[in-house]
Amino acid sequence: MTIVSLAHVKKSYGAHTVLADISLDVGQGEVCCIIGPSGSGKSTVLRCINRLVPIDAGEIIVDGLSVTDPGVSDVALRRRVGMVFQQFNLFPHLTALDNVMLAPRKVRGLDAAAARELGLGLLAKVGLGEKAASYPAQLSGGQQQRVAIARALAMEPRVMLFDEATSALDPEITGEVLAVMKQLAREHITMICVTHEMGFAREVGTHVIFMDGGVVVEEGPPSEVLGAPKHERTRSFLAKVL
Amino acid sequence: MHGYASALPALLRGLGVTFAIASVAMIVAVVLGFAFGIVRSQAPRAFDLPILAVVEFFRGIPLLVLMYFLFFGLPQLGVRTSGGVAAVAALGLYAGALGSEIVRGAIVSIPRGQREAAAALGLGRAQSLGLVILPQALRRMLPPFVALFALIVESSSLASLIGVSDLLEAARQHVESDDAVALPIYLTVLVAYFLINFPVSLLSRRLERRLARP
Repeated sequence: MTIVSLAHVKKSYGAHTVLADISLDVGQGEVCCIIGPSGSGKSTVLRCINRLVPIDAGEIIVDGLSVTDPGVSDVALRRRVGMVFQQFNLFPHLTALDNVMLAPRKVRGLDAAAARELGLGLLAKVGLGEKAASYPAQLSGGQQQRVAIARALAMEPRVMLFDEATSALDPEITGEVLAVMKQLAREHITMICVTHEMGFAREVGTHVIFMDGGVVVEEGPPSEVLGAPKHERTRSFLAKVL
Repeated sequence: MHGYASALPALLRGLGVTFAIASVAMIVAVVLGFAFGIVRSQAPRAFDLPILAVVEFFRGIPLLVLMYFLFFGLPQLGVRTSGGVAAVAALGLYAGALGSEIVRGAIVSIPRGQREAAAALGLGRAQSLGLVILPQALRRMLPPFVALFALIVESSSLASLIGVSDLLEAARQHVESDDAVALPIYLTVLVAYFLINFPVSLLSRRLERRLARP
């Protein structure tokens, strides 16, 4: 079953084309890893999926809802899509628990007790049960990103978007965030990950997409795209990053 | 009436007037500042421009001239204003213009990622503003708003020039009849203005520390 489907999506900023023509499908439980050089439009793909960026042409369907349909509210769409940012973007004035509880309370309308229970459960799941009362500034980068993952999961989304979730972290602490992402993959949570972690893509990805210049150059299982790339652009990119 | 002690009742009444004018003007400034500051931070550029023009206008005129205009000028249009009302209106408009800059600046200084994270979680525009952006922005507004309050207290002394019996006017009237006490009277007035502003400054420092999350 397809959860996210992009068909001929185009996006430009003025004369600068970011997405030339993107089509891709992500099924239930898949871990889709988008790789490619910076400026290739990878992050923009994610931002179009939850409507942070409006698309110019084409169609995106998320769990049966059309992103271009003005009748589909932002809330309806974003309840189905969790997003984790490169810079975490935790709310600094709220504790870890309050960060996680905010959307369940204000968007899903859970009462305080239920939201608290959900929040504590999710913090425990990402290994931060004892940090519930800490403010973001008191947490390391890896801990902050795990709180951000818990915060996104709190909406019980149908798909999780990871926008270079480990790129802002020191190399020695990317592991704790990747471990949480692997755990989510094992639980068959549908994930779309823009990543530079080729090891993660190879090990966890069910599908790898190589983007360059606003188009999908090559896609397939990691063993093919990463192991035996067909296109010259894929090969030269992999030669640089591996 | 002569002598320093005999001036004190009048000075106290004047202090009350100064305090009242400054307080009401500050409330006007905060209300105007938030209303226009929030609108300016959210509205598209086309809406911002006319407000910006008004803000720049009030920032670019001398406060005393504005008071004279409201007090001496408006009555010719049939709008009678008492000195107190003209003083509060002038101070409020002037400080409101500055306040809107403070509010707008604090809101737009919050990183864009905060707004994006709020949106991605499904929070609406008003929720994002009220739950995520403003709580962070308020902290950044506090020091400039305290400076603005001090400016209002100090500038309220201009009201003495349009017939308001504020602290300065009470002192001036007394010294007019007894210039032997000019030094102690004006020294008292200086200290009194300082004593209004200093506690506010202290309070804001304490608030800042309390709001500064670890």
